[in-house]
Formats: sequence, C-alpha cells, structure tokens
Amino acid sequence: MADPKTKDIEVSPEESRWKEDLEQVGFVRKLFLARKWYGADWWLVSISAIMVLGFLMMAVFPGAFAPYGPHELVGPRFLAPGEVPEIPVLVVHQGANISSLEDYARPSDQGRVPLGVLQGLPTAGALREEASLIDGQLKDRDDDLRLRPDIIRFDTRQEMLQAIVDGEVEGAVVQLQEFEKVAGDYPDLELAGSISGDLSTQGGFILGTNEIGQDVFSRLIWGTRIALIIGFSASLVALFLGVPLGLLAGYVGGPFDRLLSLLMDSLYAFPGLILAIAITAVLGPSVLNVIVAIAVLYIPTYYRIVRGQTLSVKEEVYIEAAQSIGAKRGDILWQYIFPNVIPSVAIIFSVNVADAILTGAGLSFLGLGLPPTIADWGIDLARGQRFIQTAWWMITFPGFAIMLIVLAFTMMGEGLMEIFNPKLRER
Amino acid sequence: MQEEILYSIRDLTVSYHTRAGDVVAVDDVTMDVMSGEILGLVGESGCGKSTLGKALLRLHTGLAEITSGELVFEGTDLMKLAPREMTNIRGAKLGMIFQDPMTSLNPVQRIVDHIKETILAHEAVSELVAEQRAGEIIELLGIRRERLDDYPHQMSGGMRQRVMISLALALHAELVVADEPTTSLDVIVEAKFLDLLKDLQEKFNLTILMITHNIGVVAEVADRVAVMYAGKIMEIGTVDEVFLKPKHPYTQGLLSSVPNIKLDDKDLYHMEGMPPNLLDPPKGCRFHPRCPYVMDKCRSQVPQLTVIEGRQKAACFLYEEVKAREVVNG
Repeated sequence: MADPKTKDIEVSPEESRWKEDLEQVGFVRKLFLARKWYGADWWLVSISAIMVLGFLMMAVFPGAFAPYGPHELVGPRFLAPGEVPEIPVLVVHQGANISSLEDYARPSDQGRVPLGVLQGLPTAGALREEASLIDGQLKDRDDDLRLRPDIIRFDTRQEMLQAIVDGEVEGAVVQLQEFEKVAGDYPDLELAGSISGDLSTQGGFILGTNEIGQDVFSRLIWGTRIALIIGFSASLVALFLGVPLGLLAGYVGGPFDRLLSLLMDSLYAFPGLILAIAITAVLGPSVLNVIVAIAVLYIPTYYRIVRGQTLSVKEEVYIEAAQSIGAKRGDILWQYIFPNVIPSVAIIFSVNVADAILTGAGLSFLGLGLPPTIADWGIDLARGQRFIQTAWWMITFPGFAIMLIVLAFTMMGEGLMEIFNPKLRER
Repeated sequence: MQEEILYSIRDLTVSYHTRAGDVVAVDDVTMDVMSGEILGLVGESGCGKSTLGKALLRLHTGLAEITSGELVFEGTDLMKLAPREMTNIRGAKLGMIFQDPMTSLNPVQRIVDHIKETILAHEAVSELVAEQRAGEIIELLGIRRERLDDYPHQMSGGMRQRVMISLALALHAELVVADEPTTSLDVIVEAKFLDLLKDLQEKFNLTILMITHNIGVVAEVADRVAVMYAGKIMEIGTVDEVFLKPKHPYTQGLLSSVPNIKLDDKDLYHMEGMPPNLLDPPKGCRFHPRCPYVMDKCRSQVPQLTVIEGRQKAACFLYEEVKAREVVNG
C-alpha cells in the first residue's frame, strides 16, 4: 500500500542535494567544511586540538623533542635562556702534543708547569680547581707523576698568547669564544681541549639551565608526560566511577539516589585542593596516589551532571515510547538514556583534564604529590620559586607550560560544548 | 462491524499522588474497546484522556498510579501481570503513538534501529531478518527504504509519525493507542496521516483508540466516540449517534463550541464556567456546576452510564427521568 500520494512529502530536492554533496566528500574534508557551520567555535576547537596533539606528541616521544634527558647535568648552573656558557679552553703551541691538562703531568722533581691565565677572570680559579683534581688522582696512583701548574697572570690577551708563541708559558687558559675571535692572528697556536664542561654546549640552552645545571627546556618536555598521565588517568578514573553511578542514581531514584547524592555532595563540599592534599598526605607521594586523590575530587562532578541529565532525559517522550514498544529497563538505560547523556560527559572530560593537570601541578608544587625523582612542572615550579629573583626562567617556563596545556584543554572543551550543545547557541 | 470485545476496562481509577493531595484523573471508568474499530476519545485538556490511554498499556510513571480496576485484554487481566510480562505485551500486542513526533523518537538512534529493537525485543529472529522486515514496514508506510539509516532529526514530522506507527505495526499490535497523533501536524499532512491510519486499520484489522481534542478528526475516522469530562466518561456511542444527536449536556456544549467557518464569531458557543479542579471535584455529577439543565439530584448523586438509544450511552439523570416517564406512560 505504498500510496503514491504519501510519497511527495519526502525530502525537498534542495535538502537532498545538500546532503549528497556532503556525502561525496571524505571525513577529513567534512571536518574542514564544518567551519562554515560553526564559525568561531570551529577555530577554537581546531587550534586547541592542534595544541593538545602537540602536547600528546611531546608526551609520547619526549626524546624526539628534548635535546637532553630530564636528569642530565648538561651545563653551567643558572644559565639564562640563550646565554652562551663560558667554556675555559686550553690553548697550546702547535705540535706540543697536548690534548688535555692531564698531559702536563711530569715527575715531581721536574718542577712546575708554567701556564698562563688572564688577570681578573674566573679562568684562573677553574684552572686551579681542575688541576688540583687531576693532581689528587695522580697522587693516588702513586707513580711519581704530579701536575703542579705555575699560574702566571697576564694583563692582556695578546701578551698571553704571544707568551705561548715565545715559549714563556707552555699553555694558557682562554675562554673559547674569545680565542675563536683571534685564532686567525696566531697560526702557531691550537686548541687543545676544554678545562671543564662540554664543547658541544657552546650554542647555549634556549630556556636556560636550573640550579644544578639541567636543561630547563628538556625538563619541560619530559614533564609533559607526567602532566598528561595524571590529567587523563585521574579524569578517566573519575569518569568511569562517576558516570555509571550518576546514570543509576538518576534512573533508579529513591533511597539509593538520595544516599549516593548525599555522599557525593559531601565530597563536593570540600575545597578541591584541600581534599587532594589530605588524601596524598595520607597515601604518601607516588604517581598512583596523586591520580587517586584527584580522581576522588572529580567523581562528584561527573555524578552530578550525569544524574541531572538522566533525570531530564528520563522524562522525554521517547523514553515513554521505548517503554510502549516493550524495551527492557536495561536497554532503555543503555540505548536511550546513556547516548543522550554522553555528549555532556565528553565536554566535562576535556575541561576536567585541564583541571586535573592544574591540581596535580599544585600538589607537586607543595611537595606532596610526586616523588622528586620525576620530571614534573609542579616540582620545577617549586624549585624555581627559590631563585625567582636571580633566575626568572626557572619558574616562568614551567608555569607557562601549565598555562598553555590548561588553556588548550579548556578551549577544546568549551568549543566542543558550543558545537555539541546547540541549545546554548544563540539562534 | 464485529462485536467482539478486544479490551475491556472495568472500574479503572488512576490517581496522581501530588503534594497537594490525590488527583483522580481517571475516575471509575468502564468502557469496552471492540475488535477492529477506531474508537475516538474526546474531551478538554486535562480531562484525563491521555492518562486513560497510558493506563491501557500500564505506562504510568512517577506520580501516577492505577489505584483500582481491571484491564481485561484478550481474556487476561493486565493488572495481575508481573512487570516483565507486561513489558512483553507492550509493543507486541499493545502499541502507542505519541502526540509529538519530534520528541518521541530517540535522537541518537537511526530509524532502522528503532524498528529492529522493537522486533528483536519480542522475537528471536536474526538482525538481518529484522532489518529486512523494517524495510518492508517502512515502505508500506510510504517512506523510501534508503531512509532507514536516517536519524530522526533528518525526517519531517509526518514521516516521524509514520515511523511511530511502524513501531506499532512491526509486530502487528492489536490495539494501538494514538495519543493526539495529529495535533502537531499541519492539516495537509494530518489528512494524509488519517487516510493512512484508516487504510492500515482495514488492512490489518487494527484496533485504534484515538485520543484527541479535535472533534473533526474523530468525526472523520472513528467508528465510535467516547466523551470524557473531569475523569469520567460522559457519553459513548457511534459517531453518528453522538455527533448528530448528542444526549449529554456536556457533549451538546462541546459540539456547539467547535468553530465552523460558516458561523460568525458571535454565534460560537462558550460553555459557562471552568473544568473542575480534580483535587476537589464537585459532588454528584461532575458537570453540574456548568450544566444548563442542572437538577437537585445532580448535586448529590453520581449518574451512571446507561443505554439511551441503540448503542448510545450517557451518564445523565435527564434521560433517566425521561425513561422513567416513558415507563410510567407506557
């Protein structure tokens, strides 16, 4: 009884053409076309999604982005961003067959080795320190070899380098950059090696170094991993506990709902960070405990939103219609209520990850959350705080990283909310 | 017309337990639904007609409760069934179409899944068979098979309402309660929908309880009509009987209130007073405060539905007296 007269109240031709156009393009292109519908929100989500993706990449492959390991002592301490480290090097006469200070070691009766330094520079101190270190090692070996430099101070660099050429001193300690500038004028001289430090760090550290000579930039990248682990795991644990409880409480109702709501509200009544501090203080510092502490904090958020949504969806006509076709209670909860509730959960999740990262950083800033062996932004913040007046870069960049990641997740959540919850949009 | 009773409602009372007290929305209603008929149920908003319709499927939720009565369907009292058994009957033998097709389909489920779910909930068939049958049903209702994969928001109101019927037809439900199915449709779509409903009713020998406040719709499609006021059935009979020779003063008032293009504004009848507050309904006949023919008896005693003429029954003392006089005279 496919009555021809009922056929003509189908789709209008414009609608079907529009639909076909959209059907013909691939998923990626569809996503790109969506900017026409959603405008500013689309850009918000796209930009934040790229940021989130970047952070994810950093967390998964920190080695590909970070030049050093998180705990490696790679350079001088307190080096400002971009500042070139001063590397004292040993300059000798060509053909002297000297490649490091150790080569100056000689039997103790042959006297001291004359080495030149510049007046008023810390190079003399570095030379004396390094030489006595080597001398101590030689003494322990007990083969009568000793290294005892006779440090001769010069007023100008030219005098000192000329002294090497003339043979007055057997070598001199100069800063690498200074020597490179004038090396062309002294073809007879050559670079033997560094007194201390690594020659490869002469490019400097883009975000500086911290109080024990670790690279701030590398620690920043390695810290992404733990921030995301805490953010995601805590939010996921909270989600997997909060959502089913909220669904059940909203759907079943009665005393179960009342009891659970009371419990959740009492959890919610605690100020967030205080509760997390209390939990970690009891459990002790470890990654797992931080995750547990933060998860407990966010269970009520999911519970409340999902319960509220369930209560309103439960009253929708299509739930009643589902009952009228004989759908079972479990089916109604799973196929009708859950899918209609889940979009709001996805949005809270995104915002929640940001919040959890912030709380996690707050905990480790207070020294409560993570063991200090882990590269974490919160720990870096706490360490940088002590040197805030002399080394601003130690606290600024981890703080900036936290801000960026929180901004990315929050922006993504807000943008998705605008897109998925059109009721909030102005029409 | 067959005279076999399909669904017999006996002394049904449905109450809403509100904070202000119990609201008796359906009060002691006794009514038979004949097999294969379209029975119209008309009345003002809030008179309890939707509550009665939902009660037939025991679909009351929240505050509502069936406080007494029997719902005899095919020889069994549905009130005695366990919730699980009731779930099995819903959809399979009793279906319902709701007022607003915009909200009565799950927005995140494809049309095909709605129909498949209905079939799979009641029959042990494979998904493929269920999908095949879904396609057949939807084509029967004049929707192209390709549109099975659409989501409800991609369909028009008329199409969604047809999808709702397909849910009732998927398992050949015997009684379909249609709760104001055309209220949110425009008149053109409404006319087509009513034609379709009538066709289906003839084809499948479907029994339909059509709840509406639109007298025109009832006059067009229904075989019999029941008039409800303040939780009680006031008059019941064939469409011709009730609409051409209304017996109950309320039915008379209701019919003269229907706007007609031939009438002037001034001629349109306005019934005096307001529908009663069901928290504290008037004693005796519920209509007596508004009744132009009110008698002393009406204020204290409740009139029962009695046969007036042919198949027409009314709950009014006016005719009792007429009858009594006839008996005396005769």
